Amino acid sequence: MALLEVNGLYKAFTKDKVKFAAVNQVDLTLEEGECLGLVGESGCGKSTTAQLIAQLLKEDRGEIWFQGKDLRKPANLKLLRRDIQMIFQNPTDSFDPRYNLLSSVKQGLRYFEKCGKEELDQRAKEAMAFVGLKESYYKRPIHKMSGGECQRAAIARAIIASPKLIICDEATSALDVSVQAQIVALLKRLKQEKNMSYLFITHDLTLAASMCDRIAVMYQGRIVETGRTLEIIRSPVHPYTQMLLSCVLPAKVDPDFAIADWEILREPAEQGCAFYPYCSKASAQCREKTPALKETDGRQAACFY
Amino acid sequence: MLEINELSVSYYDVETVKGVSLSLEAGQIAGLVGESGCGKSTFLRAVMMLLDEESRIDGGSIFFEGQDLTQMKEEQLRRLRGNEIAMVFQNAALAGNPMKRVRHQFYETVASHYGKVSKQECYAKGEELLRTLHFSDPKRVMKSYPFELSGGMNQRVALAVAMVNHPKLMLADEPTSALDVTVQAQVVKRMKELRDQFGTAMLVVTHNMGVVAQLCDLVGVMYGGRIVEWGMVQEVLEQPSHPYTRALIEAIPDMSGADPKGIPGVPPDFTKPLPGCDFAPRCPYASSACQERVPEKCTVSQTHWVLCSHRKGA
Repeated sequence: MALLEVNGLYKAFTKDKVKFAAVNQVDLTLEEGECLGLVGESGCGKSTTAQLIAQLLKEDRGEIWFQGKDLRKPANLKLLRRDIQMIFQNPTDSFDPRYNLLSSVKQGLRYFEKCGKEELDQRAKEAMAFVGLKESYYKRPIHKMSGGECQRAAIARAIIASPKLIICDEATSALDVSVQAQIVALLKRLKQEKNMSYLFITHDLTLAASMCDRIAVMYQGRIVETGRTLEIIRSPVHPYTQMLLSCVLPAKVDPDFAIADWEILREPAEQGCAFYPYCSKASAQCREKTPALKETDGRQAACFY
Repeated sequence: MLEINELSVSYYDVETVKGVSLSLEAGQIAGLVGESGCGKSTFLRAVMMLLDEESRIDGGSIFFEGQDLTQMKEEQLRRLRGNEIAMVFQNAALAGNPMKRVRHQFYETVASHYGKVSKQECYAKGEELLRTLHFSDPKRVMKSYPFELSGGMNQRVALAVAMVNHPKLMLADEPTSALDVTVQAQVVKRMKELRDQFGTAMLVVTHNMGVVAQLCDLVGVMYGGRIVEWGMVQEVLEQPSHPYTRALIEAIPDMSGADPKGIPGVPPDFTKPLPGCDFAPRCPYASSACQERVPEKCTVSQTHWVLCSHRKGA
């Protein structure tokens, strides 16, 4: 049984009186101890998917199963909240500025367990030690912390209740690369030592390459390709994935590398495959029908070709 | 074309840019990289002579086409800005006038340079630029107010406005950081085209090594208010000579899925200046000499130098 199973997730928003699907028929499975990356451009529905899974938003349609239990039922949700924790993009905004760091971290447990003051104190200190925050940080107010330190504290707060799944929504995007590398190392250590699972949302494909076991590429609310990270990066199947990967600027001088000239990305197609107006392989079929995810060699791609 | 000598800037009497020198020819694009708080943005603002009241230039000179900007009157500077020298700010959403439509920002920029110009002509020019910067509906964007656009859209509008007068020098502070990779690639391409077409020299502050590799000819690595390594992009990326540059490159994740390496320790605190090399506390090679005085410039090649004493004899 998979840790997390999402079937046919659908959520629509209304903008300028027009309804559009932000998340459209998304299916996901996440095994225990696995890191699944959700990648795509801004506005493709990555964050909405995460918020639906954490039930911060209510879905319109679809099922979310966590350890075989229906997450949409309020009674189950209350029990499962502690097993699913989130880490957000802006580290300083995800803390209450009136609390010092230690009490902020304690909040992560206070709602889930009735434990004595001493035990609470003890476990908060353990969590902070795990993420590498020393004793001198306990009484520190949030505004005196750097982004990297805050993100460590956010991880400490997330792990204090020993969750099974952490949803990281652009958790390192606001950080410098040198700090990002430290946080990635910390998340990986957590995965190894505590068998933590992640739903890792990022727009940075190179980061996904070093962090995730599998990735799902999203475009216009749909998953267009999923599979093992390195396989997708080496040989992307879906034309959208191919385009996305070709746009990543390599950090090396390579005289052979030229930035591909993509057609101006106009509005996506309303009917059929959303990517067909930009796709070189597009045919009449793509215009009429939306391709479903098809499996070949352990890889799924939503493309007729 | 642009020559900066020993420029120092302080903020509330704390030195944040410490004697930075660099020179740029017409048509050259130089990148400045480094972690947050290393003085990149302050330096860029100083070049434009756009420092806030708390900051002041302590010394040095900025020669732009033979004229020293630090000696110029505000009136003369104002004429240069937006015309000969354009700037793209980091927070583009705040750069446009919130009371005016995008098309007016174009008109204002052109009119300040050429005096009387036809509005329609300016609008057409702006629309064309927006199209090349990958806007799907330039007409609608021209009629929008800045607050109606997303961060990435504002960023591209700011670039277009900066480009409209074909400036000789463009200063850009994180011009692609808020953009998706797809748009980022196109913006980089467009900036290169602008350079090829009009010979615009650019000084680009970024933290993205991919942008540096694909856009810039030269790159400077900043740390603790100093440029610690400077050279042609290929030289610096392939043979990084400063331990900090090496650490910075190793921290970038790449497509191979290898683990990025963090840099231990914390960035330098400007309020507690060190007598020696600012990187010494985090450097695996640091000797006692590094902690005592600032290392001298060592040349690696004609176009490549580094501020590290460990280059000597190596």
